[in-house]
Amino acid sequence: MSQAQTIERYLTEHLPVYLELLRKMVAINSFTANSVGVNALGELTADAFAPLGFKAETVQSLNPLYGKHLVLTRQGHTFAGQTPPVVGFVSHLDTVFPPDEEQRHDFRWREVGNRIYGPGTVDIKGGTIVIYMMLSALQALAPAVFNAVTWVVLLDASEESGGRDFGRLCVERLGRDALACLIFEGGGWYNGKFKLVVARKGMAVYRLTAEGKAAHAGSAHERGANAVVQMAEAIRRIGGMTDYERALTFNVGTVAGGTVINRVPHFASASVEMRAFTPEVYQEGLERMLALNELSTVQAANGDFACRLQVEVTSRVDPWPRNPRTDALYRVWEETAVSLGYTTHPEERGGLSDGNYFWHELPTLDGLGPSGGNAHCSQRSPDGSKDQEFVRVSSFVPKALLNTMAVLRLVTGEAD
Amino acid sequence: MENQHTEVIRDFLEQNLAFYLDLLEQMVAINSFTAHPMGVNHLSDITAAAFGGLGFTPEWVQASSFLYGKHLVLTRNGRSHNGTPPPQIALISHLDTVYTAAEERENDFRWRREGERIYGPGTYDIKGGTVMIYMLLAALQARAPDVYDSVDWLILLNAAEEALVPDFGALCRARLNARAQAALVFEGGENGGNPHSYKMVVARKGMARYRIEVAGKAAHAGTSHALGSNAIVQMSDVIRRVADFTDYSRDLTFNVGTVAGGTVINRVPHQASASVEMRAFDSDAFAHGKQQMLDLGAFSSVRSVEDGYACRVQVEVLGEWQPWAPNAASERLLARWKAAAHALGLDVMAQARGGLSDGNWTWDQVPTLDGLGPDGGNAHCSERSADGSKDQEYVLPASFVPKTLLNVTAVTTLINDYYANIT
Repeated sequence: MSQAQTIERYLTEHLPVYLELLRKMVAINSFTANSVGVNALGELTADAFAPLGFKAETVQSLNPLYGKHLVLTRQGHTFAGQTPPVVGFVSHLDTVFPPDEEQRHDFRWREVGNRIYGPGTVDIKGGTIVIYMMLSALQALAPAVFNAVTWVVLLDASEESGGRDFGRLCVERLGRDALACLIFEGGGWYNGKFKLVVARKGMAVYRLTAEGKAAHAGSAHERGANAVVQMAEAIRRIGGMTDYERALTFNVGTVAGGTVINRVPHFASASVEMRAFTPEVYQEGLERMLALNELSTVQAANGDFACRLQVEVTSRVDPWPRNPRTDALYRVWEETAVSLGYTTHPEERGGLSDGNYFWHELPTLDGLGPSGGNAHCSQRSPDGSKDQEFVRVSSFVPKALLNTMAVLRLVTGEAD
Repeated sequence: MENQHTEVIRDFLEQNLAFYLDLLEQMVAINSFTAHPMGVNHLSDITAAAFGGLGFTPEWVQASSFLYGKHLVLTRNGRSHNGTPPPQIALISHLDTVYTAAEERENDFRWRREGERIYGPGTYDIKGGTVMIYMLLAALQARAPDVYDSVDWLILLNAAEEALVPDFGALCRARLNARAQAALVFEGGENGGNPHSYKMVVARKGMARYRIEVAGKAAHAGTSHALGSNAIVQMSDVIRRVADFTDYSRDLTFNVGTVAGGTVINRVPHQASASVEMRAFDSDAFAHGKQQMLDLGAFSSVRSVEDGYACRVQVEVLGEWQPWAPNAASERLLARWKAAAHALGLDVMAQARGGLSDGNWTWDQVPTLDGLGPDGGNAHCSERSADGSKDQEYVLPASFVPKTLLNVTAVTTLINDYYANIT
């Protein structure tokens, strides 16, 4: 029996144990803002990894409202003065569902055929389980390799709210020489083909404010400079800035302005979200938005006052573009898949993950979690148009097997 | 009217001014915010009692909405002269004010006499005007009883003028008869305290209010941007067009007063709404402006890239108040007031105003003149700031007697001319 077959059999035999751990994790509400729940899940996770020899460290999220990040480390043995290689695994503790939302929609662990519904089943508690599966298989079946590597599991307490502190923590704990930083967000899996995430869009959020001059709309219309009209002018320009060919998109998400109907409005505001895959296009998008700062095209008819637009960048997460180190990691997974009779597909995804914060400092690959669907959805409708988040049970073993064999290939530098 | 008679009336008014101001103080003490019908009706009761002393019979007509109080109609019919039926003269004011009781308390806004001013809610808009109707009639009753008795007087007090309720317009038009010589509106005539000059209103803008709704199509802004049809972008295109409809050369103005749209930033918005107010002096410009607005309902310039879903624009007329256009009948009344002013050594200036009054309901049926109320300022303001940049509504009591004398003189010539032309 080949090593792959041995590992596959081990994982299959132990699947009920892994799913029981997942069930316990899903039972704990770990909504980002429920720090008590997030920390409870952190403790459960630390306890589960302790028998594998992992030491737990907690680091408070920068935002004191959120819970503690969890860092689990198993130091590798030093061989002949050689520092052991470092491999990082990244997941997160938090989910997007508040407890009352889960209750309202009766959203909890529910097994239907090959699906397990429940909060965080695929995003991302199922991913944490895949990490656990890999490490337990390595400990049991490849102890020499297991002991020769420093394994660091990093669990973000507030991934869904997008703080920068966790990315810095990853770089600090893994060091710049880490072989890989592997992210266990869910990944597609259809007909033996695994989708792995090799790039993610960057996002910038802008706040626009237009200052005008108020006046009575009936008796002093000509003295007013309409801030809503100025904002409309800016929005129309932004609407024309989306360039699908270059994957640069702008979304004017909200707008508000004015007080009462018989007053020329002196204020309007809008929020805009921009996304792009490549740093060049992203930078160009930033510049085009900032060029609107100080836009002034609407004036009071008597010439006394000109509206002024202000553009402010309120948050900025740069793209994780295609890059050689990610592509090299991807090739390891691709070759491993072929050896197992699977195929892979590189996916460039619209949403952000922790990878956006450290891809330029650590070799990063994402989408290594199980397959599932309806992430962030807690509702279900009778006609099926809305359904709850779920994970596919049958995807755990193949994905954990692929990842384990790929990590072995990575750390030993050989094909099996 | 002879000079001697003028002085008799002036003396009468001056002797009784303290009484009139006391009546005003009682009125101002009652909060009669438009949406406080109990207060409006209370004010209506004391107003009816005051005019009862002049021989007027009250009648109450509930405003079409029960959120508001009752309109008050006061009538006193005159005697026929040699078989000639008396002329009808309408005197128009309103009961309501724009201040809630809480706002009055918060800003310590109440009757306060300070130098030449009397501050207080409604002192200028328009309880001072109602008191000037009382002064006009009391002076005629006391010092020109033949004139007083030869007119069908009709006083119309709107319970919800500040809400621009159309049912009061219908009430006015129903009660004005074929012998109506004038509809005189006692809104204040702000004139900065100049005792020799008064402003009268001969035209007011019309107004229409619209609500614009845009329906777009929602989509995730990150993963399916091309499926979304952005309602805010569509609304912005509409707003720019509306802004361009303003045509100062025709006195046609549009104000996009409010806009709101979208839910969360990472979602292409499927909904946006805006409110627009349009004003015009001229009926043709008004109709043209309305047509431009309604035509936006067929406008669509934003669609989703992937499936071509086009945003839909809907325009709804929330309310419509026709202009009180410049017209010969109002000009003739103005000329009469100018002549009276001249006789008194005063000056009258004509004004076309942006805001609406109940004159907008009557001008095309009966010759209408507005601004017969007292001088004052800061209408609709309850706040005052230390630096004086904000100050409260006030009336100038020194304007009550001269302005009433002007009104008495002009109204008397109107009545005399009516009988002169008949016989």
